[in-house]
Amino acid sequence: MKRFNKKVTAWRGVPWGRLRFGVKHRILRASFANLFWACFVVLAGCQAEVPYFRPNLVEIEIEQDAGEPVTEAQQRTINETMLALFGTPDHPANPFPQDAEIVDATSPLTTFGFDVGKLKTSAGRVYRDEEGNQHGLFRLHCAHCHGVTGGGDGPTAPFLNPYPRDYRQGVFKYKSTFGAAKPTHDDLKRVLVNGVAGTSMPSFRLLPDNEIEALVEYVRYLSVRGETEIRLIEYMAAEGEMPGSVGEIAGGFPLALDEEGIPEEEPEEENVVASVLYQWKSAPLQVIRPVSSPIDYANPDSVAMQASIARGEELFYSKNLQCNSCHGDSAQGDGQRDKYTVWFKWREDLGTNNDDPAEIDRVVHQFMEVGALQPRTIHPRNLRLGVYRGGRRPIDVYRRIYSGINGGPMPAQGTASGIGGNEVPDGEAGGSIRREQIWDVVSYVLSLPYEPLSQGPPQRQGSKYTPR
Amino acid sequence: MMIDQRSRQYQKRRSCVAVRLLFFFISVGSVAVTGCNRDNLRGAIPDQAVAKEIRLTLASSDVGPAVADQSASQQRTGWGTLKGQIRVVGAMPPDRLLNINKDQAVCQPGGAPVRGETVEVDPATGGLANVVLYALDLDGENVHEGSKAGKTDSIFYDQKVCRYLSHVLPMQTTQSLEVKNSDTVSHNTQIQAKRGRSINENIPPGSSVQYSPGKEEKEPISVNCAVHPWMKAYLLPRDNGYFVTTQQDGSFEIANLPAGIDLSVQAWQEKLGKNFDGIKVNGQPATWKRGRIALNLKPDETVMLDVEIPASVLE
Repeated sequence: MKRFNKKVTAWRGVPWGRLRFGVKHRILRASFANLFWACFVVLAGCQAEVPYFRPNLVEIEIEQDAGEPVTEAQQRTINETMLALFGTPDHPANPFPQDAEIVDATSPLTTFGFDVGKLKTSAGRVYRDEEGNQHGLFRLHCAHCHGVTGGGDGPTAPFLNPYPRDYRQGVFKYKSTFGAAKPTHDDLKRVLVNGVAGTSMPSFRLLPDNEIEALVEYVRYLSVRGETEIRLIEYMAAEGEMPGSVGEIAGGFPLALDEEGIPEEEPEEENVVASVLYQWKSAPLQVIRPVSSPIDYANPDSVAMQASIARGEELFYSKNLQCNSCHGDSAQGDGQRDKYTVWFKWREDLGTNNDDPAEIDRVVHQFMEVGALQPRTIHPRNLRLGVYRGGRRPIDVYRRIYSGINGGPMPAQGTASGIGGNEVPDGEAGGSIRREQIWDVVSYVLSLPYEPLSQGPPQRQGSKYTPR
Repeated sequence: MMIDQRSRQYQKRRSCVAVRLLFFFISVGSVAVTGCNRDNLRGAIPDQAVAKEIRLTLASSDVGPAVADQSASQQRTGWGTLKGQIRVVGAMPPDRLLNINKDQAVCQPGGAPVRGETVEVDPATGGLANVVLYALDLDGENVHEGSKAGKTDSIFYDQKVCRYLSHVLPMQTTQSLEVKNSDTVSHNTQIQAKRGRSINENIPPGSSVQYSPGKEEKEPISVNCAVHPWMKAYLLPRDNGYFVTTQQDGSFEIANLPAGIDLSVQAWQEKLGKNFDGIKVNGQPATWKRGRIALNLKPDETVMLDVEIPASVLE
């Protein structure tokens, strides 16, 4: 008790009276203290961390949900292998080391893997060197939406609709290749140069060509990196071990390559990086080369064009194509609107086996806690706006209809047999419609923005599409 | 009186100090909690030294394509058979009804409710249908003539009344599927393969498309229709023919499995995945790690598995 009194006396020794100016100022003092802390945090605390590739925790959660948890130690093994193969956002590495003692400069292997020079221009911090070359292109132009990892999870991502592309699945929508094939180099470049109309993706037309090229290479690198990681996680979840030694996982040497740098034989599944890269390398073989259009699109008022539009309209609402089933009877994109894309496959799967909204909500929150964005269903395009994300040239629309939109519900109307310039006789084309008929649908779709909604012919009011 | 007042004053001051301390701890605490680790999505942080070591191994490795290492030490001694039945015990949850929100005239003739096929239990025997079982990692000498890889005949894969007529279908990688639409509305068949070929093709009424998977899958891949979102089925492309789906009464048989070597037979069910918790095999509680049954058959032996699955895990 005595001691306590002493203490109190000690407090009394402080000349509180001089310091105290009243209640108002006491609050002021508290604010000063907080301000001090805030300054401390801002100045010292949060800049220490070096940028890193964020591990794909959503994929881990998917496996966890499927009853195949990947332990922390296993995750660390995966992350260490990923670091060894691909490096960091500041120092990207080629998963096929091309050090002089392993691969000589003339080896075809140098064309496999990545152009590290381009990667280095895109990666790392943003600065200009003494010659005026821009570095850190990805962080300067892309990372705020697509995220440093290319997971479509940059700081602005939650506020965008549609969400920025998550490269890690290796799935791209707007491309010239068939079905699930990878985009070609030119496809990615076209998206960068033109942007994606109707979305937040701007055009980078003003960048010099070498910067665009560097970014295309870096996007490919991030995509291959992400897909490798997903496959490693899947393998780890299923087997409880890595697919092999790190050399086997890369699987690059000595793979026999042909003169175009494509492996002569498709790599084994265990050669994860090589088999992902093989798909990229062989994409040019999957390009759709349509029969040339019988219609002259430069002359929209021609009789031939009007006839084509009429035929296209018939097809659009036909039972064979049933375009209106999703795009709506008025083609305003108001048909089927409850599907998810491949980027939210976990959400789609959740809905097919579960009817309890509370349970769905709980699982969705679990996913969001590990970095997933709030799931959104995909809406079919409103074809009356005249905005075409994949490009508005007739050939772009043709390719969307021929091969569908990868990752989303839009199906292909053509078949894989018509790719790579293979001319398929009309009678044998398979698919829903003959290939020349696809041009008629293109004509109709491109005419829709110019047609007043209220003046549609009677068949558009749903009478042709009886089952609905 | 005077003392009373002063002690109250002290108390006031002490509480003032306490409040200040509280503020201090809250601010320190909030910094500690949120301040410097804003990214809680970092996961397991890799060890730089280990990664560097792996990189060096990578740079000096000259390994080509992976060679599947067969358990070479074991010699096949003959052929055996795996037989059994998978049954559900306990009160079954009510059927799940599908939400047919489109093309009802075709997909829901007469307006009768349509049952989901995720869990197919035979009321008479309790048998669980559509469980697929397949042997892993067998090739070369260890595959019997009747199950050899390379079978090429086409399988007819029909859809009728907005339903895939086989819900879980194992097939050989080299076989092709003739995906038919027997309805009067269009279907689009979206096969989402992990390793092999994925397609998403529109199939007009009465016509069909060809699909060949091209590559083996580790677990069943989904088949959907975007036009009718409730339509769902599974395909399982495998290199050899060691696979079976359970019948309506839950029975299955894989004949001519290699005897004398360690076998791993994978089981998969749509609802459970590979997660067979709380099962009993031949009356004894058993665990199938990752849904795998470990076996070593004797020549001409027939192993019987009577598997009981508690109904509660299927809810």
